[in-house]
Amino acid sequence: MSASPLIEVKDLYFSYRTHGETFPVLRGITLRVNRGEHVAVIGHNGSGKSTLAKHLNGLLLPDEGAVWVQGLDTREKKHLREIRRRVGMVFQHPDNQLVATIVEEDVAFGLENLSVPPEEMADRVTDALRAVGMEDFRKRPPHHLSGGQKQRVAIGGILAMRPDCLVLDEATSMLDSFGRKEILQVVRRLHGEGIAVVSVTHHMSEAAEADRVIVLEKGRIALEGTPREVFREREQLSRLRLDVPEAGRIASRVHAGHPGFPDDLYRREELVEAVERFTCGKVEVNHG
Amino acid sequence: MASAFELTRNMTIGQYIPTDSAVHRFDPRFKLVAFGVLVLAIAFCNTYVGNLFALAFCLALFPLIRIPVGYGVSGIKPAVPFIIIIALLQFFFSGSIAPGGTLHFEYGVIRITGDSIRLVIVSAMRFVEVIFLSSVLTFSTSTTDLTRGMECLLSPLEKVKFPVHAFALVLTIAIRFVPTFAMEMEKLMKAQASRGAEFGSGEWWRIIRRTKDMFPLIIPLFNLALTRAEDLILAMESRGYVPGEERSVYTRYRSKGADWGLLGISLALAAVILWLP
Repeated sequence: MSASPLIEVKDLYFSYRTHGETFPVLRGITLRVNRGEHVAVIGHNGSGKSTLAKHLNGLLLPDEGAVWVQGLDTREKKHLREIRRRVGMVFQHPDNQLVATIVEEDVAFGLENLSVPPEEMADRVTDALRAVGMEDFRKRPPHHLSGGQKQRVAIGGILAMRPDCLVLDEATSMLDSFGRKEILQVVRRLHGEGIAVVSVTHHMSEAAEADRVIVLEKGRIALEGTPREVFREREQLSRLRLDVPEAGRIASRVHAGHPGFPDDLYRREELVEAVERFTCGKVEVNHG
Repeated sequence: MASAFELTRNMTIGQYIPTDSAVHRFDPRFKLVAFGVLVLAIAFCNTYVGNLFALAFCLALFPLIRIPVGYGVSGIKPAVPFIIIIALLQFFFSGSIAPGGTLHFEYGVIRITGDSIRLVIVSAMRFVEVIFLSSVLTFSTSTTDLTRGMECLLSPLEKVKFPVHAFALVLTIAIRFVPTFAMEMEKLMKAQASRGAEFGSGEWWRIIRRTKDMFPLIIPLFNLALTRAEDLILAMESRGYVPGEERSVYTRYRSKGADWGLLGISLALAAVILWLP
């Protein structure tokens, strides 16, 4: 673990106020996201996971405590633009985050905000579109794209700003399974290239891919650790009305019948491997 | 026949069709100016010959941008009721008489004169010509180029503190969400229709009833629009947008010789339209 984290959240408290009433959402959250790390945040509806995500680039500001992005305090207005360049955010609804009438213009939107000189913009837009596999759609209007393609454009718009961290705020929840696969592939590749990823999700199989999982409950961190450590706590997870990834459920059912079969698996590939080992290769496994 | 629910497919005007003709490649700033020049010329032309010439010229533009004339002409359909209403009003009530003009019929406020007949025909032609011209402009120019072009043309106004850039952004976002809202509207209509609501089934003259029919659509549509707006603001802010701050511009235009040629041609055509007898 490096000494200076990418994002540091300390004793964060936050409440929404409407009509004179206060609804506390985050109650004392402390966490760090390191460079190049993939952190998944899971939690039941209303656990505060989206609110937490919006604190990571200063869209919301803490009532108490603080958030630093590479040492820059999100409460200081003069840092906001730089913070938002470094920490980009992809939102849930694919239709509500594209601004322009043409894909390439949308990708350039963030660059325009950063006053990047026009000569440089074209290259950065091309690179970003290539990184998300949308270079053939450069001149298309967004409403001709599928949900997954729109989300890829949204990610492209953030990549063009050359961020250090990508926050996905339930970015796959409105997509069909095909669109989800597209996004996860892109995210995996970006993470491989060294960009830190924070994914807020309620798909446990997505959380299983992270380096670290943080479980939120009523605005507090209930569990934290590697996916293996977190998904081992089945009872606590079910108390929080959270699931175990599909692979984990299958593994534990097999384990119930065949005690020799490991029950602490949570990733698809691991499951496939274990089945192959367990059956000594006698069963053919479809890797699809 | 197109279904009443398919809002997005019934409009031809305002649709960009990338056929990549020579007209498509002109600088949008010049296209906008040329469009303005021609519309002005048509607005001031009140002779039959001039309008016939303009009409023929507008029709000739469709093959030039590689779009079937029939498709272009079908763009008048939604405007036909307006043309008829205007024509009827002018026919019965304009009643102006030039010195030496003929009076065909008079009863109370209704006066039909030689001049009013001419006015009816000429203004219907003008209407059609302007629709054709706008169709040609929007068929051959993407909305992005149109707003960017407009932004460039308006940019001198920045000196008097007019927020040109914000204005262009508002326009872009509005255009961006038109298809989104049209699809939303379709969904709402289908949802209401499946629960027994009827749209557009009443006789066409019962305007009030037909308007009332739309209320169950308008209110949820507004609600959805507001939610979308909130999301969009967050997304824009999160990409570093600060209203009124210095920004750079992605698309820049450089005029070529051909663009000046376009301007020259449009001025020449305007002159012909205005000076024809």
